[in-house]
Amino acid sequence: MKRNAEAIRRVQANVRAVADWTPRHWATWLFAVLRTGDEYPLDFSRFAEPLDELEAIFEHAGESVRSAMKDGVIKAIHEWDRRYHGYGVLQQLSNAAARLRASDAIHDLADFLMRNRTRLERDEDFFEVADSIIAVLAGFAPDPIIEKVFNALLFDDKVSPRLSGLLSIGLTMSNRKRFPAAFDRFIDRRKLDPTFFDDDQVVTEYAHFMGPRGLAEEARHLQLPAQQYLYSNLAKLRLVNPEVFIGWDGGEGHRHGDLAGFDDREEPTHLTVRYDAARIGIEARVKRRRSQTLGHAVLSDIAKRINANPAATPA
Amino acid sequence: MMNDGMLTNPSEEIAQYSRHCERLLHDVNAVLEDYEEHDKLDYAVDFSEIYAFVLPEDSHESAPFDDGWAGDHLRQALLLSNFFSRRGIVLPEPYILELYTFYDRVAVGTFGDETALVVDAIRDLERLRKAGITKHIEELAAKADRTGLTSEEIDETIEFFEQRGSLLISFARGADRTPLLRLKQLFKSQPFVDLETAVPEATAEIDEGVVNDLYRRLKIKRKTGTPASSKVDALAIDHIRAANRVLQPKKRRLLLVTRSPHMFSALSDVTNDPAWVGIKPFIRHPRTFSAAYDLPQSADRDTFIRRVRVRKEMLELFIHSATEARQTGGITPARYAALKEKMKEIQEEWSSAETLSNALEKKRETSKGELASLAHRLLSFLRGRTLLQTAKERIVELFEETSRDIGLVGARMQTPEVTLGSVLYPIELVDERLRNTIARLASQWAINAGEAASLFDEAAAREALDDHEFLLTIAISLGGIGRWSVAEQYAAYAVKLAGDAGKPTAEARFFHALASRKLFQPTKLAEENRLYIVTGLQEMELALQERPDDARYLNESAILRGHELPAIENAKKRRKQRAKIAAIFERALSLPHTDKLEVQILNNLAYMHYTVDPPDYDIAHKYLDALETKLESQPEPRDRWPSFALDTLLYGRFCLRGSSIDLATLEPSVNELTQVAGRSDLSRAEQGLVGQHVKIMARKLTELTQPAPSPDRPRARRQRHKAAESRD
Repeated sequence: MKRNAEAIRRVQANVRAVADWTPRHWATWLFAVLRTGDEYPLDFSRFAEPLDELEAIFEHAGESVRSAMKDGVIKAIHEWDRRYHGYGVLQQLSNAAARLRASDAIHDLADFLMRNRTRLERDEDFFEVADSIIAVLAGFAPDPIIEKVFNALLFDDKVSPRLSGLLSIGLTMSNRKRFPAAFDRFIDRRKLDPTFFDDDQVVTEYAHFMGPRGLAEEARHLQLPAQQYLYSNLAKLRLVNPEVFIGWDGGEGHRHGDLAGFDDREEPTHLTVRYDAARIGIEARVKRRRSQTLGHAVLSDIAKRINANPAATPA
Repeated sequence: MMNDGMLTNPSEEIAQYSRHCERLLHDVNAVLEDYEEHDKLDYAVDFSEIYAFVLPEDSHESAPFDDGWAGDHLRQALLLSNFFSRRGIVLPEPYILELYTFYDRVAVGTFGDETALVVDAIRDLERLRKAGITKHIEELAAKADRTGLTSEEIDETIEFFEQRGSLLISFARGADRTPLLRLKQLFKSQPFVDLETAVPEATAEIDEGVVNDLYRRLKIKRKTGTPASSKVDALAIDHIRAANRVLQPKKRRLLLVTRSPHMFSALSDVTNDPAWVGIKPFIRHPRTFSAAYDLPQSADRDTFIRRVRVRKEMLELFIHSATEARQTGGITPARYAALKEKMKEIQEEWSSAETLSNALEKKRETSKGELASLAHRLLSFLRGRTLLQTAKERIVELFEETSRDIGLVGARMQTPEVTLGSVLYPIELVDERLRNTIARLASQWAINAGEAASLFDEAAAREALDDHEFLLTIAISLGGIGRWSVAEQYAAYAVKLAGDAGKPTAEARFFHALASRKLFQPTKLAEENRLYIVTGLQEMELALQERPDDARYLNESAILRGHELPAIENAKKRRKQRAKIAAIFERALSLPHTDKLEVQILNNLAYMHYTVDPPDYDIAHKYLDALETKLESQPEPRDRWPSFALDTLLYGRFCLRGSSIDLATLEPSVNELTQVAGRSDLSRAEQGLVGQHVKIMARKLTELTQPAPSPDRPRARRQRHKAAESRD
């Protein structure tokens, strides 16, 4: 509690100190703190990250200070120079823009990426800052500039495939209608470096934006490999019920259940993908001993659950 | 549905008969083959048969005549129950996956409203009494109590009810069991074994080419339905083909029980394909487990087979005659008469082979005396209140089920208690104890399933309770758990019984009006939907004649009138009508009322003034303030305030502020209302309405918000940490 009270007092003191700071002040101070770690004349906790403290000031400040802070970050990004400041500072400035919701930084950040797109192929030093800026820009979606830039980078064969996850998510966030093209492209690029991606995270990010069921629904527009990747991961992560993939038959092909993304034109291969996803989803839900078949495990699971709820005596 | 020769076109009628006879002939041939060969037979089952057993009312199979199976859900359920009582029924993996997803859904109790059957059965009984009960049946009813019934009398009784009160039979048989109970019954005998465990070598024989071929054939034959069903069935059929390939040398066969004519037909088409050579047809219709085909334990095998052969010949003769008649000059009146005679013989043979009594008789092999007890039960319905007593027992079961199902949902959502609904008004029953219990429940803003069930339990335990009060309590309990469609039926019946008994009807009418209103969906325009309001208004008018100075009645009556406001096209008239309704609400406030009722009235006044066009924001403002003050004076914290009031407050403040609303005010309101929209004390229609409010407010929120990053996105967060680490 004491620590909280102290933190609040410190933030309030900082807010008072910056009351008349102009964007120029902020830009200068940002360069200083991000290069040297010295937050003077403000007072930051030694346990906290500078950007956390910056965000705290922003949250507690009035509208005029907030506006100056945003403009200061935008100014700093605009004035950033690799020779003097280095990529690390730009990376942090872009994160500061994200935290302070300084959306006008989009222009400079997007421009930076486009000017350096040739370096997105193989320059390892550059890769990290580019990755960070793409993440920040994706956070500002939807925006027509972001859509344009992400589209250009995602479909550029020279851009590293490692960026395709973020670019495809960002492109979808910019324009949901681009989801099938963006996701198919990601799957295509992923093949070039399959072990790099954290598939759980990619699918979770998509599910976070589109909703797990919405994602399963939209998957009908995807190419088969993309559909397979998406369904199996949604199932494995238990983000949707297996019912979504397979449902059940109420007689003569009348399908029941909360089915998602069904298409009457589906070919057997697509249906196999759905079937396999249902299988993966169910396997993730039932306990299965090594010697047991899946069918046996499922029947045991249902029997166990039914007995766990003892039946009322039927008349 | 049964047709019984009602077709006006004789050719079409004969053609239909002929087609169905061909299907029966296939069954008979297959069964005879099974009897004559000495392979050991095992059975696998299509998931659709499990579905038909658990939800018999969803079965769609029909036939042009009574073949002992089609068109009668009860008989089908009994025959399937006989089939499922055997052990070791094989399920191929595709059907196991379907069963899993189906079970998941059944377990959370989203199927059917079986409580409706109870009230339907009561209506059936009433119709039966009106139509007149024969003297003979009355004598049987009296005799049943004294000395018991002979087997002929038992059959007579069941036949009597079969013809006149099928819902009563369903009820007496326990056909209103919840789907979950039926699934439990199914698993109790542990009937299933998975195919991979039963025939492990079969997996190696599965052929993707065969699956795809079957899939295409099924898809073409089915025309409707989703391709996924054809895929699952194709996979399952191939699993069984593979198993039969393995079992063949061991003189064993695995038969698939399914009613699907398309699966049967697809298999008939492929018998000569290389993958199928040596595999005997293995599909059997579930009706082959009825008396017309299934060898009874006590019967002589040879006599029985002779009997089946006679049936086969009858079918062949009819098919032959019908084909010949069609090919040589069409169905003339003379030929039609001759064929009709043959049709009658077949119909008699089949329908007598499997009557309900027969189906039950089979059950008796495992539970003796069930048939007699059914007849006793049916006769006892004719003598007074036994049906209501049985209804009590059944509804107790349903409540137990609901509580458990909801408990399951609660466990899934990881919430300690799931609030289910509310008892909006204290309904004043004559029975003092029940009146007090209802008043206690009505004093809370929300109740859970357990509390609704305890109200019902209390009513069920009251021996001297009037029938209409009992039904009204059922209605209140069902309303308490949000089952308004059934609650409405019970309330309507309670009104009727109270009227018939010459008792005051006001409270039953009042609750019936409330239940009707709860079924009204403001966003739907259909006439049927509007009828709910008309019914409610009629009931309230009659109730107010009995008790004109009841604040609850005035409130409910004004709400119902308020629902009619949007339909008035003229703005001036609308405003005038709104003023009249406001006066009714104000009058209710001037009469003795509870705090909870005051909150409701203030809520209604506020909501009506800002939603009905043209809005009157000044008056709305006044009532919103009064509502908030009233709620704040109550002991419940804000998160326990009733959902409808929170909606009125949050959406009302939003509407009143208009374009001047700022982000800091709007954002928390949208978040709070989003939580409210999902609460289960709102009916589905109310949830939809709150959802609409959320949408409108969220749209404004988007306008106010700059395109903003979501700082919690893990990827972005990770990037920020990375950035911090790499700082110079």
